[in-house]
Amino acid sequence: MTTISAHNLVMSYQQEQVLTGCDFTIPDHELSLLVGDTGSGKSTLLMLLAKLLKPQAGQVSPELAGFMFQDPRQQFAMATPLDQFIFIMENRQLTAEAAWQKIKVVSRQLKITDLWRQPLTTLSGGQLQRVALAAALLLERDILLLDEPFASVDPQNRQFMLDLLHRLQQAGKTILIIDHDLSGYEQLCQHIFRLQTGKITELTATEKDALYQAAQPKQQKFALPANTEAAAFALKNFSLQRGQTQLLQQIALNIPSGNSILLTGSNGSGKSSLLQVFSKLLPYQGHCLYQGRDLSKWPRRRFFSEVGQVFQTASDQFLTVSVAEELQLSQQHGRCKSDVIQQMLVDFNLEKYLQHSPYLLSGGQQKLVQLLVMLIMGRPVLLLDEPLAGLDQAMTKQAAKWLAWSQQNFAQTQIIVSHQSGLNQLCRYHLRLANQSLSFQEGLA
Amino acid sequence: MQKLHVKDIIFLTLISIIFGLIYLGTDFIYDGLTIALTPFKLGPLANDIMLGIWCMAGPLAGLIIRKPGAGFLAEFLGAAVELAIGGQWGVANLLSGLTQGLGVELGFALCRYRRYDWLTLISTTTMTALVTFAYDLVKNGYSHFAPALIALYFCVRWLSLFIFSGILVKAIAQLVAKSQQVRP
Amino acid sequence: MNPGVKLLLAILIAFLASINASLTANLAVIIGGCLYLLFKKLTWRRWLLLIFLPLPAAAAIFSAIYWGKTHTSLQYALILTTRIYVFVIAGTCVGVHLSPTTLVRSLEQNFHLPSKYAYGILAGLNLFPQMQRAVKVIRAAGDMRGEFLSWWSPRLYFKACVTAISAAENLTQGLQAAAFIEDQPRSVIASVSLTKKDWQEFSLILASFCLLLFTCP
Repeated sequence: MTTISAHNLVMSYQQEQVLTGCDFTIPDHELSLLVGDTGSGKSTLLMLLAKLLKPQAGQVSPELAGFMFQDPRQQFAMATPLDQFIFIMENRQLTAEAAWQKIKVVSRQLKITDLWRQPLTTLSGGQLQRVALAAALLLERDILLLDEPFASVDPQNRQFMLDLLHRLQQAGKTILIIDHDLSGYEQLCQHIFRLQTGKITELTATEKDALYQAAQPKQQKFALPANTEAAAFALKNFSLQRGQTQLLQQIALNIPSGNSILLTGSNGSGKSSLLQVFSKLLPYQGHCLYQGRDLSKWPRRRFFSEVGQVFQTASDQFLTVSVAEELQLSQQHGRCKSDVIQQMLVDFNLEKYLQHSPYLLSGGQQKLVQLLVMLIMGRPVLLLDEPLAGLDQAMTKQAAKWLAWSQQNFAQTQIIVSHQSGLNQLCRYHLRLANQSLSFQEGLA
Repeated sequence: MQKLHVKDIIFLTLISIIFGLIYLGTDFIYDGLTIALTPFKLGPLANDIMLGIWCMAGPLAGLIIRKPGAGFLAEFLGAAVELAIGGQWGVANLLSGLTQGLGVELGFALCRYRRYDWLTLISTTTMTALVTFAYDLVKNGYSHFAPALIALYFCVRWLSLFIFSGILVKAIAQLVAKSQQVRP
Repeated sequence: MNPGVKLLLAILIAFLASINASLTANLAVIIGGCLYLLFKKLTWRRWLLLIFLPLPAAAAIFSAIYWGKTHTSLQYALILTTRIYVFVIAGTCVGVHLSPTTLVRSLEQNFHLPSKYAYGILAGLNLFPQMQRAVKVIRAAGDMRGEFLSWWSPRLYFKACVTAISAAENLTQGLQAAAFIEDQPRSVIASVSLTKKDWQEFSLILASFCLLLFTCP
């Protein structure tokens, strides 16, 4: 039996129940998808199925699985692919001959033999995920659980891996994948499961179709910036790399100040990296100017009194041990009055949590606290990296409302990266990162 | 008594690394102190002034993990990590790491791994000062100093350890405890 | 030489050199070590670091001993100064062209270091670049809020601890997903050899060093 199933599964994550008595069975020898909103607990569920977490109540089927993490770096304990493979085989207590033979076969299958001795830190997203899949396959388990395996993979690599997964499924493996991007699955995937408010349901044929349809983005018109507009950031002969991968090459670009800008691009194209460049956290080649002055020439403290970032990982933002202290700290150096802060606190539904540790709030609440403390600062520039992750619709609306207020009140430049469409209406311009270059677009796709 | 698990060991390694990275920013203080004190024939005193900063990982790890061996391992790993990333002291690092770790661990052992309060920190401070000073008497020739100087060096060392590996560590540990504690 | 044996030898030499005073023995280690490093083709950058990094400490100790005593002793001042170079050169000899992975494998296979220590430490070390980034992010998070975190600020270290706690949790899951189970036996695929010859070389070098250390001034 290779069945993946769960009975009456209950799990909380940071004070929030993400699973409330889940019952389900994933069909054997098939490829199934697990979907659900960001922060709905999909990753937690997958880790429970892989026995990487223990449930608070209920059972999962005992079968062990090969697992791929959302962040491929979490997959590796060792410095090179080959060392990682050897580590796995030694853990499985295989003999050297058997191990080498299997390592060679899987490496050939994933075309990574030439990467064996390269430091993992220098590999591209696509290479990294191929190595991670190889590592999962080397466990030789009948079940494969993959958490957004293609998040930073280019289309070519994605297709290559999807084809391979299809063949593995036909050879008898049971595969369950979490993915936001449904393209390419229509032919491969027989079942889609949705995790919503702590329960799992399988989608009907009509729901499935609707989901594939909804994957097409809604149309929206954006303005195009005029050449005369004052620039917040400017790129000149700029280039940006991640390991060996070229992310961006830009001869010239002005990013206008005093407006909200939506920054889009496929997963792993380098949107987050670009925001990190703008907040002086990533090195780059060429020139990147803020207010006409090279980033490297800005003294750190002066620079950060102008530019703030809402980090992708909420906990990176916190400096103190309670929500109240977080607010106090921001208020000390920020530009918002206390009645405004009080109003935000009410709108974000956070008054009850003032004495709580921000690290122990739910994912969505952490996001709100994070947004709140950066809004209070009222910096001329605010960079936002996935500010809506884990927020429901009501809270998304509140976040959008206050971001718009902040933009107007402080004539703020906002650059927003978001998988959710909740902030699109807010943005005047749309900056698209595709084929390693940036350009302003009128349409959304 | 509880054993160290692989998660604890990774945590200890990681704080050794992060603390090591933060200490890099204090190298200029050490160099500055050394240069300033050398004309007064007190150059090595820079070591004693800085020691408390370099020894923070051990007592802190002990306070957070609360298992035998955590304090020792954090100090020793800190030294090993520095060696691995090419620090300026070579294998002497491992030996100092060993003595510092031994001192910290003795401090916790004296309190039988049961209490983790000010008394414990005074115990780790004193034991670390004693063990490392004994080693420096031999290794760095402190035994050749005049008795009054020896007393001065020891007092400075104890104070530095108390301020950084005692008071500051206590403050950090309290913040960590607060942030991780679930409130109703 | 076997990496673990080499490390043990370096530690023993450093320890012995620090408890007994012999200029001849120190110089022998420095010259021998330098020859070994020349033979191993150390990069010129590492050479420069090797020479200049310990200089302030060496100068400090020299001045304190040479001018600090009523009976000046050039001999003793030189011993303490060269001792610092003994430590650094011995460390470089162990580390030259040796990956942490190989050293850890040697300690696990040849010296029976429990695997939870071996791979816990190694996995942590491999997170070095991420930790470097984490420190930058912590500082930036402070700067953005007008709270400048300096090296004496408890908040800086507190954030470091919180980062380490969550990274350790993630990495432990990573090890588990690679079928690693604490205290469970593992097979050996990449074996590190430890032969009689290693121990003979070890004994020879250690014996000659001790001979110099305890007989020559």
